Formats: sequence, structure tokens, C-alpha cells
Amino acid sequence: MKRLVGKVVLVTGARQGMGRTISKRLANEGALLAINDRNLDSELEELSKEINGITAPADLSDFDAVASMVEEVISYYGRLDAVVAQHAYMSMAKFEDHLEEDWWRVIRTNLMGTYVVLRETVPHLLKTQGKIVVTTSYWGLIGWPEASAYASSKAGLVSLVKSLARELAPQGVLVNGIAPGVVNTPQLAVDAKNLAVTLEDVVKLYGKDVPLGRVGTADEIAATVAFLLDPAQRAIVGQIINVNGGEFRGRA
Amino acid sequence: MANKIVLITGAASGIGAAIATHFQNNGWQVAGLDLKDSNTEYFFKVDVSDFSRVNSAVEEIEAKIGPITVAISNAGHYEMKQILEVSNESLEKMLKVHLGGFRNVALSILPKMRQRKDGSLICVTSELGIGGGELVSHYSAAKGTQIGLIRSLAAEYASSNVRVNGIAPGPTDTPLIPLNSPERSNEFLQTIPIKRLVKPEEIAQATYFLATEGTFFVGEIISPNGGVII
Repeated sequence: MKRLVGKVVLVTGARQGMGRTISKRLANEGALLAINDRNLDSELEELSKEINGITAPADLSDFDAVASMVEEVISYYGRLDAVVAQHAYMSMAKFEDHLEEDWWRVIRTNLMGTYVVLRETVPHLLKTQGKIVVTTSYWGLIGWPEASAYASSKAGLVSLVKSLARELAPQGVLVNGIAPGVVNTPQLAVDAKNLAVTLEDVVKLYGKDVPLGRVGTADEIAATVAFLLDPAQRAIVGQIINVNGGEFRGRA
Repeated sequence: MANKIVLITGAASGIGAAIATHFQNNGWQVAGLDLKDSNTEYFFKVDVSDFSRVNSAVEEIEAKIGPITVAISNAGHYEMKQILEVSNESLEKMLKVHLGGFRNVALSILPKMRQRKDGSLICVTSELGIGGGELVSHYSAAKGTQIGLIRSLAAEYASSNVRVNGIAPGPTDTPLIPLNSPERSNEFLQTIPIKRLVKPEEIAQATYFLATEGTFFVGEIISPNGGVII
């Protein structure tokens, strides 16, 4: 069933991982996609062709770049119905060892980047009674060792979602967040390399700690975004939807 | 999902009826349990607070139609009362219907789902179980117990690939809210961020997603509440 026919959706961080899968899923539901990533490369180009959408590259830390990117999307499609803020930069280090510059890069990309995108897109979403879905993280809710920057940036997004939801719902724009647990994305290949094991080993290792016994899939995250963007659903507001296989309690 | 068979308690009206219609429209066989006659394909007149009746209905459904892949504990009872006017009997009724009703569905279906290593159990609780509210202490308390049970059952059954989750509706446009209720007054509606009551269809949409595509959801409570609890 195609639920998003004719809806224009901007997805940030769409080049790979969850962003890529989300873009494909939304396109399958009939949405018209503008896919953003930091750089315009062949991967982003090919994806845009595959889903019959447009590329919308921009460095999200640059207000002017984002403003002109959004302008281009609007001039191409004439409207904007939803923003999926999916981009993220991940860096882990012991708190005392984390380089200040890197710490700020995490905050700047994840929290500030989303702020900038929403600043530029909310005026357009107000015209269409649109929706915003922000990908935050399970770690942003419960914290995580050696992830203080990442978890803080994601916690900031939780509060951004809730505050904007309160501010915009009376004007008809619905804002929600998703908090994925461990999901099988290209980040797991990075982790495998760092741990000097195979990707398969990492998937198994991480899956053991999830009550459901496995890691999540990008498809499961994409299905959740599609569910929230379904025009038939306009009662979910300011919620953080946990998609985590049951990981609520953390562990030592 | 191979077997599209869903069990819904409280299927005769309001949210339960909307959920039943949504599943039916998507090609599911719906078995409804209710005190009243329900408009579902299969129907059992059952008081959910009676374990043996719930259990035998589940056995009969499985024998006649096939394995239940999704069970939705939705039957509820609502009233507004000042806490000083809540009698022991009325508190007990709240707990029997909500906590007891959910427990009875869970006890009847979870062992079967565990054996099959597949299944989804959803409890329709309430945002009042999360945030509480004036004049609904007994209802909110009963709904809160469901959330504790959802999360505990979720933890206990996740390793068997059986998912237990909840839906926590906000004030929804159903017969549980009488036409002359203060919850239908414009004054109250203006306090809701979306400025209206939640539609039963919106609860049904969320429930259906959780049951069918929410395969990485365990112990989660999705709350389509119009923004009353953020």
C-alpha cells in the first residue's frame, strides 16, 4: 500500500546506512525524495536515480549552504511535506581522552546540524502541515560509557524534538523522534575493524546483548519512519519511539 | 506473517472495533472477545476478567481457525470519580478488567507463542497510566499496572522471539467518553496540542504497525496521545 504518494520528503544523511534504507522505503511508498549528504558523490547520485528523486548535498554546519539547498528542493518540487533528520557523526573515546575538537564535531554535526536543517525547513512545513522525524538514539536516553559526546548530542535531540513538538503542534506541524538500539549499518563494519574481528562476529556479539537476541535492521527503522509519516497518523506528537529490541535497562 | 489471525478483546466498540476493522481491511481473520456482540468474523461473548473463559476462547480459536499470531488486549472500563468516592469495589473492578484482563490474555496466548517462537502481544493501555490525571486515579493506577506487566513480559519472552508491547492512547473519540463529558468541551480540547480528540483509526494504525512491521519493538509503549504527554 503506497501511503506517501506525492509527499515531498527531505532525508539528511541519506548516502548510506539507515538514511539510505529510509529513502528507498519512502520512495517505495510513493514519496518524492530529496536526499542530502555532506558531499555529492556517485553513491548519492546513483541512489537518487534509483529512487527517482533529487540529490540535495550540503554541509549541515553551514547555514548558507543549507538555506540554498532547501531553496533548491523547494524550487524543484514546489513544496516540502516532511524532513527526516537522519545524519549523524559517531566518535567514541574515554571521556578524559576525547579530543575537545572531536567532541565538538559530534555535537556540531548531530545537534547543530539538525537545528540548522529545521530552522530552514520549518517555514515550509508550516505551509503543508508537515512532519519532522529526528533520529536520536537509545544512548541519548540512557547514556553510554565512552560515548559522552554522541550520547549528549542525541539527548539534545530528544529535547529539541519535545520542545519543537510543543511549539509546532498547535500550528499543525508534528515532530517526533526515533531512538534506535543497535542496528546493522556500515558503522558495524567500522566497529569490526576496530575490534579486529569479522563483521559477522560483531553482529553476533552485539546481538547477544539485545533481549530479542539480535541487532536491528535498517529496514525495521525505515518501516518506523514510514509509519510515522503515514498521513493517516496525526496523533503521535513529541514522542521518542524506541526501536531497540528491548534494550531499556543497559548493563555494566 | 503466514497466519493472519488476530485476537482482540473489547472488539465490539470504540478503539477495539477500529482495530478489528483495520486488521480486517488488511486481510486478517479477526476473533473478537467482548461482553457485547461484536461485529468481527469470529466472536466470543467473554468477560476478560474470567481466566477460564478467555483461555477456552483462545483454545477454540486455535482449534477452529489456526494459530493466533497477534493478540491485542484492549478491553477496558472507564469512569471519572474523585478519589474519595472510589470504593474498594470500583478499584477492584478496574484492576480486574485491566490488569486481570491483560494477564488472562497473556497467560492464555504466550505459552503458545513461545512454543512457536513467534508472536506479538499488544496491550492497549493509556497515557493516563504514564501521566496520571485528575478524577481518574483508579483508572490511571490500573493502566499503570499494565505498563509494568508489558515491560516485564517483554523481558521474559523476548528471547523466544515473542514481542510484547503497548499502545497508550490519549483522549480518544470513543463511547467511553460520553457526549456530555468535560473531555468533549471546547475548553478541554484547546488544552490538547492537536486541538482535538485522537481518532480510533489513529490508534488502530499504530497498533497494526506494531503488530506487523514493528519487529524490533520489545517492551515499547507507543503513545498516540495528541501531545498531552510528551
